[in-house]
Amino acid sequence: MSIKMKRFFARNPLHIWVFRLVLVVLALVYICPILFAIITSLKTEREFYSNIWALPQNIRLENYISAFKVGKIGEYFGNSVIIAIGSIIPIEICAVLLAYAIARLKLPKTELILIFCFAIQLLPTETIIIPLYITMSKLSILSVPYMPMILAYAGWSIPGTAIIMKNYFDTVPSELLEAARIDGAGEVTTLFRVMLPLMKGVLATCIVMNFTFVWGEMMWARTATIVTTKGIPLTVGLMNFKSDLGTQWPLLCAAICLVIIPLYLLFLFLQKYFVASLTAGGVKG
Amino acid sequence: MNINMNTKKTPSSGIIKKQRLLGAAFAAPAALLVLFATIIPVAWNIVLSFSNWSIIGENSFAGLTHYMEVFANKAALKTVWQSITISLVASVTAMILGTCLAIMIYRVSRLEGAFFRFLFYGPGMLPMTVVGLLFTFVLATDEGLVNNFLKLVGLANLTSPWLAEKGTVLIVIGLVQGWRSSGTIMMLIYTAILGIPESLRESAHLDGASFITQVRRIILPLIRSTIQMAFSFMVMWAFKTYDIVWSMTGGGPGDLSKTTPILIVEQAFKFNKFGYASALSLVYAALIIFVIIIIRKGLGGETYEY
Repeated sequence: MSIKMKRFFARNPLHIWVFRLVLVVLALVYICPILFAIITSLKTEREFYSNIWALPQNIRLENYISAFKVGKIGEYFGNSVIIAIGSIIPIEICAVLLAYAIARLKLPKTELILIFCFAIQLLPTETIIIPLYITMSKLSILSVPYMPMILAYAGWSIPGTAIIMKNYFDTVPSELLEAARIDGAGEVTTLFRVMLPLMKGVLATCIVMNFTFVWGEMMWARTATIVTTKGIPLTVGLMNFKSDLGTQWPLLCAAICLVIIPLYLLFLFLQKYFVASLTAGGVKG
Repeated sequence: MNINMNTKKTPSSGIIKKQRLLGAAFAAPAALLVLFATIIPVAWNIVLSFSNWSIIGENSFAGLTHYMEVFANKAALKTVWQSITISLVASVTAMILGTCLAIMIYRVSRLEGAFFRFLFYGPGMLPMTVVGLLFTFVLATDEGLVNNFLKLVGLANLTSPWLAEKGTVLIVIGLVQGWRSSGTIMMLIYTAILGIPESLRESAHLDGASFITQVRRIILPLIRSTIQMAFSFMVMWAFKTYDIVWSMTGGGPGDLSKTTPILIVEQAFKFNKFGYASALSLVYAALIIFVIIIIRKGLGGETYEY
């Protein structure tokens, strides 16, 4: 064995090779379901039933087009985008204000508020949705499209988001804020001119965290849209689509891919923030 | 000290009051939303569970009848049992897979690690519903990936209608949920392993400890608190069985995979039994909190400072 080889094996002992092998096998297991769905989504139904392993004869996007149009996946997708934007904006604004108030503006009993914010996150959603549904139906919010989801998601996500932001505010050196104060900046100016530019990273993390929750939630979305056909989000829409379809797998796979592919692209670009959101809070979701 | 005291003038009470007012104004929108979407509903849920309430407006005190109904009703207790089974399978799968993945990824080169991290964490950000639908396809009896693969490698006698069989349906749902969460657990544990000072492992290595010994004697004890935290998160996520079960089986076949969240929604919105459903949801919440406390206590113990 040459010296080079010996060095190579010293740096890569046997167990690392075993690990590599196991990781590659597991990677195949993890990626297979998704690849299988993508391949199936490009086939016609006849192609699929004649041989499920075969690659599609030519790339055809018919399934995608009909899932988008007939299955109304396009409409549901739009609804989900509106709900996501509509709830994430108020969540971030309210959470920033609340966190700033807790961290910097001598609110009384901040300890208690923080404990309260933690406790709220432990409550399972099941204990909330029944009375919330009754309230919203009495106030006739249920018939306004998007509103039930936006209000609920905002209320549920603010406490956790505020905790993360408050922890960040605590790390900003107070000299910086003192300096702003001495320069005559009011609290509002300090928050928007000094703090916000500093907290881009945290804000991105929080947005990603809230987005994954809002985008994937189904129990409340399904309950709140039980009586209407307007403003149905993607998760509920997909289930409707599935029950209409029966076993037209290629079409269903196209619908699934329409959800998976944009998410993976987003994940690819924002991976840093996805991971940070996990370690920052990740309690609800 | 003295200098500090001089430069930092204590603000007058007028300024404090003004700041407090502003603070209250800043906190108000958040407080209103949380009050509306969380606090009032939870409080009302407790009231509902003690009353006979119907959508027409009849309302009377029911005492503990709903709770007694929950504990006397075999079907309700069965859903609780089925929820526990799914969560248990999911939690154990995710913890074992996640920990092993984290350790292996830590050991291979940095570039490979980044690639595998991306791959394994991917499913964790997909919505449960989508994962569920994907697996109804993968596990389909005739057209599914799993059964066809088994046929391909000559194990045709192992094929099974995975989601339509009494013995397998709960375990399979649990496995899918565990699969989906394993990447998240992996990431939490991987971050903790990165926090262990390299010098500790280095010295163990010089003393001739094999990698397996290092894992057992150094890495695992040092990240114990992270494992405990990840485990309690995992259990909390795993008990949210609505999305995954609804998208995979809808509670079927029959009632064999019906979990408590599904029963709660069904009782309330299909049969208008709001009081009963509220009581059931509170019992379920108590169960979750109880399990998490047990985990915290059971896995607790000395943590090491480093």
